[in-house]
Amino acid sequence: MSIPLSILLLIYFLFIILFVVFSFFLIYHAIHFGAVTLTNFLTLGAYLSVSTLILIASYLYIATVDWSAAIKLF
Amino acid sequence: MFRLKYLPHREPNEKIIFFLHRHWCVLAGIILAYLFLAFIPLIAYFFIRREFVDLLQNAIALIFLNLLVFTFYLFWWLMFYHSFLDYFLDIWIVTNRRIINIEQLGLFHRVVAENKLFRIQDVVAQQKGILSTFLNYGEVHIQTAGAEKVIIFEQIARPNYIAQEIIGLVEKHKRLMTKETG
Repeated sequence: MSIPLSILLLIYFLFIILFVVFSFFLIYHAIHFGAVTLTNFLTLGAYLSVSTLILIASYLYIATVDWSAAIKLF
Repeated sequence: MFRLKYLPHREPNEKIIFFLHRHWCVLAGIILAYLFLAFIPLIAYFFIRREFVDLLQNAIALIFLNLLVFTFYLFWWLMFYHSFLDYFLDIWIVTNRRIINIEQLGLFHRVVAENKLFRIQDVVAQQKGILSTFLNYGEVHIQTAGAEKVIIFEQIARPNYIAQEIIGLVEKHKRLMTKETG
């Protein structure tokens, strides 16, 4: 029996959705409750930049994988 | 975001005397802890390479491990920012009229307390431990006659100086109020 490899991608996308939802909560808190200071803007910018970098890196890796393959269970 | 010059319910002639966060060493501790955690995938890689050599030869397992690493770093970064916000959103504002205590206790738990200076009864500064002594940070406990009996400024820099200044502000405010009421 085998399952498609793309199931790992689906699970990964679910984690990304969870990440985006919680990121939204954090960004909302930073904007709504944070003071208008340079530190707040810089840290928010850094968070968004690094998050984007990690997502781009994962996309570049995902693009190299052949997801049509199958995982043989037994 | 709130602008410091637009404090809520700002009174005439109200000025911000102190805008306090926790001491920088608290943030340094958070950064060090997360830097340490960032090496977990690397340690795991060396462990797997030593103990489960075959796993790294398997293409499917490699794809799974790579996705796991990306997921780890995404949530590592998320938790890092969450810890930073937990530190950054704890604010204590001392004005010449009141004290505002804003504490972020969790992602969806926030406490904002405000006490007029004339309600303050006692101010105590406390420094405990070697690190707090050498880095000059600690707590300031403010006893009030309000609903929140004690306000605590946690892990702030120069607690003795802050306590002295608050006592000075309270006395000045009381003298002003006595003058106004005749």
